[in-house]
Amino acid sequence: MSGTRKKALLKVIILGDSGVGKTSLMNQYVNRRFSNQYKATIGADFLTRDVNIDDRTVTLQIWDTAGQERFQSLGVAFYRGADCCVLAFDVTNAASFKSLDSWRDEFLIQASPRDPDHFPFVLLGNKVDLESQRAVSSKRAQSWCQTKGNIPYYEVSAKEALNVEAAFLAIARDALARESQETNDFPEFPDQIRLNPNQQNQQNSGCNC
Amino acid sequence: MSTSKVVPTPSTTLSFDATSLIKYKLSDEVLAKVAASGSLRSSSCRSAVWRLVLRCLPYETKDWEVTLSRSRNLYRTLKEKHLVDPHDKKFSQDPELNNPLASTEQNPWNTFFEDNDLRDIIGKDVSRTFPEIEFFQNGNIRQMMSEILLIYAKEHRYVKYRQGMHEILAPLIFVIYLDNEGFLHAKENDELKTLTVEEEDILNCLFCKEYLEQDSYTLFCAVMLEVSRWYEDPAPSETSKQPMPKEPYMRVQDSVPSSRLMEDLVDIGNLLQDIDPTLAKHLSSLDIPPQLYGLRWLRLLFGREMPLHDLLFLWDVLLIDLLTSDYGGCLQYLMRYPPIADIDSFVKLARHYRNPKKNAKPDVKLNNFSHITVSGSSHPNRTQRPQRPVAPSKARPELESPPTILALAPVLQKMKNTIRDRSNTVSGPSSPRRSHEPQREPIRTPQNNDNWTREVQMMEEQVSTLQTRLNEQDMMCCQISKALEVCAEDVRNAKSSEQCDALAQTILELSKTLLSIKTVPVNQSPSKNGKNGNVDEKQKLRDPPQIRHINEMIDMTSKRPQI
Repeated sequence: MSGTRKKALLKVIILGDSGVGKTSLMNQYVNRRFSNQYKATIGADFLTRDVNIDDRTVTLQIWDTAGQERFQSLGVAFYRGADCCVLAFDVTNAASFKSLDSWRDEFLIQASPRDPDHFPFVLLGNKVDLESQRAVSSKRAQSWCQTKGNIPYYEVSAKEALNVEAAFLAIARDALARESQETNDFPEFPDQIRLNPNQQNQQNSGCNC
Repeated sequence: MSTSKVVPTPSTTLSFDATSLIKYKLSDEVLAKVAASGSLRSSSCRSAVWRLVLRCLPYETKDWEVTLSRSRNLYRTLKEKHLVDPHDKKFSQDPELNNPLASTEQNPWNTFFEDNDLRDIIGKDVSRTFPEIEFFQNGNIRQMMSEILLIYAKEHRYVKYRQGMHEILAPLIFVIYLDNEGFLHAKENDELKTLTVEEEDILNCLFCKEYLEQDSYTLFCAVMLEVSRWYEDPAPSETSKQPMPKEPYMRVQDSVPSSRLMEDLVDIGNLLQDIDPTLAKHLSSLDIPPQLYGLRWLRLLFGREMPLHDLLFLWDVLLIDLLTSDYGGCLQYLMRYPPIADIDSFVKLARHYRNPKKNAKPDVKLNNFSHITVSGSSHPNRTQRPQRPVAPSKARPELESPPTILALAPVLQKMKNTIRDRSNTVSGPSSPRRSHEPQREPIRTPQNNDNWTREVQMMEEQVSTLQTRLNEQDMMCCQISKALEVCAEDVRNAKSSEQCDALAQTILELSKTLLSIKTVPVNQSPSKNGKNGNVDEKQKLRDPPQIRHINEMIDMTSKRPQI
């Protein structure tokens, strides 16, 4: 099935509060480097990396966003065609965990995928190298994921390159698996307006004269 | 100088110092010329020029002290108003009303906690400001920036604080700081002898270290008057309700929220369409709208697209000429912009697009950003091979013996030969050539072409990077030699013993060595007399650093007699 329609490009969007490490995660995954000298992301930025999954080369196009950015200012061009949405929070910052709901909701509103309940999200809890400062327990994060339809959860550290590779690989697999089911998350055209009178029986029950 | 002696205007080729600031008759037109000439690059009056053109200061110098004290007092008032200290005596100190848990409306702790969230957001960004520049790692500077941004956010509730504002503020506070320091040095070096007492008082007031925070706030507000529209949220009426599709078959999510930012980004797209239709078509076929790449340009005024010293020069022109429009934006068509080897031509081209009738299109080909795309492959719009300028923009005398150039020469020559060979094989002899072109015959095999193209492009990119580094080095040399000179003066003034003099001489030698790294040659014969030599050095330091073109450098090195 996977050979019939090749889509070599997967678009992944990272969302989360300012300072949780979105840019660091992306750079750790793509460039295998960590720096504590990143500047605040303005608007959006992206990097790509090729991955091999089951003998298929897939290009992951990872979009990094500004933590303070609201969707309205970026416009839908940014979210169109997303194959996966990565939500990131900082395990040492409880506020960044609390914001996850609003990030998820806003993504669903703005990107409006056809099947919001099954759109692939992944949750990353970053900065687990700072275990002594942890404010959000693994259990708490996992139970949040359960309430959102069993979103996969990974505890990662961009600084120590902990779990980052595995998490993104899983993200790519997820998005690819979904893609092979030939679901169309973002229909090119709006749902058809059916003009078949049988389906709109309330309106043609009588004469309007 | 062609103007009358009564109201002289500054020459645009010499540097613009404190004396010119106060002696000359200035106006927007004059300052626009000064800025475009690049004279502010080495000037310690850049901040004053910015303040003049942004109307933080009037052109009438005798009104400066009043204006300055007014704006400085205003900031103090704002600070008192907005930086709430619940222990302040102006609040009721009744523990029933004033405690962190009291639920009364007048409880100052409410504001305090609210501000803390804002402080937190601002602090995160301030601590990430220009991490490569030491100035911004200073705790005091960070504190000042945070307070300025906090007060701005509280004074302008419709924009508040948005990420990116910190990088509008950063260059402003940096420039004011440098100028204050520069003025002190000039004073210590007796460079202000021609000024009257009144004039010096005015400058003392303008370049006062004590008011760095206040003055930065005032200048920041003035810049934000133009820039804030790119930070505002879209009109609430359209986002709170379900947006209505504007066109019959438009999806709901395609209706772009109307904001001034979005309108201006759409304008960038339209301009690109006019200036470079092929590129515009290419981007549109890839579904890359200006929203994706233009947002950062506008919000940061190109702050991320070039190194700080080039950015400051761009702002010289931008603040005067381009701020109210986004014409400059159309030129930078890449999100990851390749290093600009020649910021001067770049700015000229931007000015040309802004007003084609007034500003001539620069002759110099901007070849370092004509060919690279986001993916690194050939630019679809590329019809010409990079062409060397027919003649260098300014004739430069031969060099003495700059060590860096010597080392670079073979590498550069090799690179240049490669580029020339390529242009011979591909585009034919369209570009004018010089007589001393190498005789080498390139190896021409058709299947090699693609590899060659790629290699040449890589090399060109490397040349751009090298050029950027050289530019940085130039600036650094200037700074260091200035510092050394100051140091030498100090040693001289401290004691008049022979040892001190010898030390001073050594330092001056050092300064000369540093200067010789620059390609701008030492054309005055060095005077035997120490004092005269010193004056020469100073004169030279006042000249703005020249931009070096790789091609010229190669020419210079190739013309040099073999040793």
